[in-house]
Amino acid sequence: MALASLCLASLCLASAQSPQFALDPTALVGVHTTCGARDKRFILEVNGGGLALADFDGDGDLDLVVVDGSTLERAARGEPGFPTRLFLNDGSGHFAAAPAAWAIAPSRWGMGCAVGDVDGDGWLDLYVTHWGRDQLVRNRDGKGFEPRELACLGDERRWGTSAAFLDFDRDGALDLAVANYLTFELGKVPPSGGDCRWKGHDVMCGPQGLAAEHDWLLRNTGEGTFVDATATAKLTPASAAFALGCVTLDYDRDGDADLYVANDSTPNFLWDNQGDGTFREVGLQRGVSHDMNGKEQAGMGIAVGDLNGDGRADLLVTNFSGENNALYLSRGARGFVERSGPAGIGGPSLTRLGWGTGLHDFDLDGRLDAFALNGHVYPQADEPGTDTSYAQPADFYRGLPDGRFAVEPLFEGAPRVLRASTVGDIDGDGDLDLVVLELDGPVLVLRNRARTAADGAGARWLRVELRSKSRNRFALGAQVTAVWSAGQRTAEVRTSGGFQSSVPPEVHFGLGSAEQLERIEVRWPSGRTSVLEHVLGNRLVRIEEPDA
Amino acid sequence: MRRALAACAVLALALASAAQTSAERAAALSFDPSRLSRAGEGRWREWKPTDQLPDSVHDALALALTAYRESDYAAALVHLHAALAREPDFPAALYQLGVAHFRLRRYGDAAAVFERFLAVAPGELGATQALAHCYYSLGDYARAQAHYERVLALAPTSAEAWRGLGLALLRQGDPSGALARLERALELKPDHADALAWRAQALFELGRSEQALAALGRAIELGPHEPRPWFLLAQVQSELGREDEAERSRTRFRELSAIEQEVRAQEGLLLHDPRAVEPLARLLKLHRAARNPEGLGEVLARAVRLAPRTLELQCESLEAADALGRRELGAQLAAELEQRFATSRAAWEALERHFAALGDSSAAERARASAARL
Repeated sequence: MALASLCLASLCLASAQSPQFALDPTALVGVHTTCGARDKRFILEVNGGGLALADFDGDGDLDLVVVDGSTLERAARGEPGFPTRLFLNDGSGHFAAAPAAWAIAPSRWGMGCAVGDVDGDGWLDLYVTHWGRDQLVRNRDGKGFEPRELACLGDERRWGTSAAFLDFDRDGALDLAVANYLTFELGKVPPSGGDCRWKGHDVMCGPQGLAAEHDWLLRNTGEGTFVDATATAKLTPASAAFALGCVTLDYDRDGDADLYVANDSTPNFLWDNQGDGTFREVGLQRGVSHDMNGKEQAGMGIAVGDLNGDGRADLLVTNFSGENNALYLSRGARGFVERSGPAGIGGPSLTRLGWGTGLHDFDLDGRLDAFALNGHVYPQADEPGTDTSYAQPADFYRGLPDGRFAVEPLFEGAPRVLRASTVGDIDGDGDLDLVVLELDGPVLVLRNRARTAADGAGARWLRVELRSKSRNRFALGAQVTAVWSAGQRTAEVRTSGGFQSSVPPEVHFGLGSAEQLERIEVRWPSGRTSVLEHVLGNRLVRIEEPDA
Repeated sequence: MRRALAACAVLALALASAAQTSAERAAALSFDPSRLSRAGEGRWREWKPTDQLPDSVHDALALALTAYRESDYAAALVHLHAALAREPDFPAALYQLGVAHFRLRRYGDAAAVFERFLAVAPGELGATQALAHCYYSLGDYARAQAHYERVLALAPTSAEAWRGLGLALLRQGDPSGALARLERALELKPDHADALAWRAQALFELGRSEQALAALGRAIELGPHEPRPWFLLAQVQSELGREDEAERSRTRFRELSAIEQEVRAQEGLLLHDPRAVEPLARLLKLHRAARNPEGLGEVLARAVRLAPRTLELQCESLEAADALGRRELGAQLAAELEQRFATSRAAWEALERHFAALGDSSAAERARASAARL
């Protein structure tokens, strides 16, 4: 009897310690990406590609876009890189290559992507960033992609990373912000083994010493085409920075779309939309440019969520090894305060180099959790004395009742060199799953165990999709507030987030054991509002924008 | 001819020696401290820092100390490994090895060595404050806290340990606990600028902004070149609705932060190449721009030890000596500059500035004329 009790206790312990996510090797088979050579002699080879989840074919489930890279040899020969690919979901979270109608012509070297309906036809289009000219592909009524040629997609040297759709001028058409990293010219950047050293080891050069590129703001003319509005919108800081992540948010809740940009080795930018078609950079003023010590960090990925239910966006930024991931908590109109240490994630992230990230209620307990994908840029991180490693464990930050996070393994298995991530309920079971990209390795599907775990059947959730009357059909920028017995939380509809990735245009709430919400309030980008009362959980709710 | 051959032989020997040293440095840097020999297990249990050094390690430790003083931490590792090969687990060598790793910012290796030091000489816990610093730098704040507390149990008047304990608590979300410890540190060392700035941080987090403002005023008085107090000052002023002042503080923060970032980069280069001339010259310029006399004095001391100096380093050293008001050193550097770089316009221009700063107008005029001729 004593032995049986002990065994049961052990089982309970094992169950409690199981990671939140499980790798599903059958969900996506044999999909790999390439980003240069494995010895990483040039900075161009270290960031990896991008991912997006969205329903492109209109069948009600989330399809997957994988942005692939290239090799220096191909680039030197003038050959295109590996193509961006779409994989269609069979409804159960298993993906297969899409038919030829969805093929995207290979371009120079793919990096990241953004999803949005640029022409207001109700179908989600795709923007792909590159080292070289970016690509915009239009969704033909859920039947395939077709390229759109634009004059403002850059030149062969510019390196774009993340991108974000937003309606900055509130004309109802989706505009586009593009985070640009630097100018990279083959033959002009020295390889590793020269003067570039890190912790005493020869490493690839950059970004310091290379020319940073200004970010872009492309204004939608309303015809599904874009013009460069960077200068007229004053999105031009005194010095260009090495941008890697970008996300839209209405941080001050004044009804217009602001923009946050994570910069590598330079202070992060918070572009405050002035409401007159221009922006003002207020990162330092609002407390989101540096860490708590006033040190600039190497920002990579960005997660946004209303952690404390105050209706305002909080930010999590992943950073370089030797720097903590930064957690910026909103303080209302006064801006933000960095609190990664007290939240319990500052210390554990110091030896990690973080990339893809997200803030969602993954375990459906009514509190936001987060994750950070990790992996160094230098293979030399495995050399002695670096206090870090090339392959690293991925971290799950489980939200606790006291506002702190418990740091746990994201999924089982050996450390990997992970980069981009995207989040969505790929199997329709109500919890949010992950797709992650391993550098020069497979794209991995991580299924959330929240609804399949023994104690998860009772956990409740709600997904909300919005349909606007404007050309911004998916209502990017709308604020959705869910109020239930245990509290309230506000989420913004956006597709930007993480690193070089895009997420579905919807919001998701974990409700714990609450069977229904008292109400859902929607503040549409147009300024109209909707209120739904007594909404039952465990369902997808689609809300149409009311007439004026 | 014979003299030329002899000179070549000397040069060859020097080159061979340099190559060997380079290989030894690489080996020392690649060595995993967890593989240190434990053949001396138990032998040093009763060791005290005041004990006489064994003859077998005397020379190696002396060389390590010299290398350490020259900021050549990789060379210090070579000599300390040699000492530990002769006397495994010798505590003084272990301790210095930990310090050298710490100075190289290899906190994991430093922690491993300090842990070994404690296992060998458990009575020397009070000497291992650096171990707590290592855990803090690795983000293990709970372990850092525990170690600071152990150190303080044996050395309760260590302001540095109280400061460290305060920071460890602050990082773990306990501003009240942090404030009490930082105030203890300041009782012991009232002019500890860093402890003052962190006390201000704790006060700010506790919503006591007016007191934070006062603490920051003193911290900035003591270290006006440090960017972090200006960063916090802007936040506090903004919180108090003093937005104009906050903007001025942000401006000063931006200036100092840009300098500090480059200082860190140059110091990183020097860590692994301590005789690199360009970073030293750049650091002199940066510390002068930040009006940081401590930093300037430290780098100047390193620059003066280097010989021969390049024109740029000689000029920067002269400017630094003048900025610090070190007239004797300035005169020496000016004489060397005139002697070694007489054909350089930049040298004469530096000399003109030097003499003008001293108020020696005729010498300044002579230097200006020499520069004009070139």
